[in-house]
Amino acid sequence: MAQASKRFGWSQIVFGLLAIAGIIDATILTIEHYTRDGLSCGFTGGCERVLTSQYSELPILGIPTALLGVVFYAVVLFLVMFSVINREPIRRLPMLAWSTIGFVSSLGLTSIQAFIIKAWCQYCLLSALTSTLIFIFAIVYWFTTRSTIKKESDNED
Amino acid sequence: MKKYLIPILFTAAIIALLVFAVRASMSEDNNVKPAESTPAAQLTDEQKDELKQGQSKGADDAKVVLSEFADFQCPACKAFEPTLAEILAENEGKVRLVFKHFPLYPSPHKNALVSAYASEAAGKQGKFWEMHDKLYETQDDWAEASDPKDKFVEYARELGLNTDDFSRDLNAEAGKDVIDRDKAFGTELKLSGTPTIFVNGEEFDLRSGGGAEGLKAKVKQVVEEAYGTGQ
Repeated sequence: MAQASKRFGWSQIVFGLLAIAGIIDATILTIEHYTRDGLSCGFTGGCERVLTSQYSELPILGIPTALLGVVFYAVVLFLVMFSVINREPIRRLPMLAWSTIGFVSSLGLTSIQAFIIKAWCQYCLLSALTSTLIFIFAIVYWFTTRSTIKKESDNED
Repeated sequence: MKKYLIPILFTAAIIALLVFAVRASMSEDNNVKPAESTPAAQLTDEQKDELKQGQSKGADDAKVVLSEFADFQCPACKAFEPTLAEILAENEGKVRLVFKHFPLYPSPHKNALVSAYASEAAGKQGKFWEMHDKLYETQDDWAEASDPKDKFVEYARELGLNTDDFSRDLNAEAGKDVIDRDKAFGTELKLSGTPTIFVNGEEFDLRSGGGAEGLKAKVKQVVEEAYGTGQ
């Protein structure tokens, strides 16, 4: 087990850094969403249009979409912390499944910006990029670890 | 259980740290803004007079004049509309609202200028504010249209305007003088964007001043100073 975690230390660093970048980005968006009262349009605007659109909140309960972003990256970070602290490789299936959800959501939100709101928001695009990278690495991780981890983690699961 | 608990605690701690850091750096950004805009804080009497010129709503003899630099294609201006309406309703007869054009044209709002012409074209028929409301209401429908003029004519029809006159005025860039003048004035005042509000010639910084609630409080205070607290 310890051997496997050493070999896949890169995955902890990569997923960990991406999750942290995502949390910072999504936190900025959430704060901007809540302070939109004082926001104004400048000559380089665009973001406020996306952040004040009806898609900036979930239809139920008015939860900001950006806050869901924070939750998404928080779970990714948890998967990494779980593996670091328990000294085992990152769980492959949860990471792949969760990052797929994130990727599909990002795809949807980016399409809304492109086709419905017709405006771009820098931090939203950055978050889409981050979740896409997490998804790509999750696929890479899935295939590179297939043979190695399977036996070891089968026992544990 | 412990296997899950410790990672959860670590994750929560990291997130708390990140959120704290982001919040701290963002509020630092906000604090810089008012300092940057101080040069425009003290206006000359001439400039204060200029702020009172334009399409206005509310009592003509109101002692408190709110001047709003806005752009019909600006979502933040749209979002700010209910606040202004509320202020006018709460201080009836005491507050006048003056609209100053500040179209963020051509970028980021490509239809900002033509929508300003539409408002002034409606103004020629005495319905500036009706068109003003209509343009905000329908903002999403025309904001990115390649040629929104047909839509504007449709709105004019809905508002009961003479559409032939409206089309002619719209095509003739109605109110161009006023709009250009407002825009140049706004640039002279070093406006960073829209909406920018002046209360009796004094700029109210929405970010540092507490947004909509802050403005309401500020207006209340100025109204009390002008009319006394008893009324």
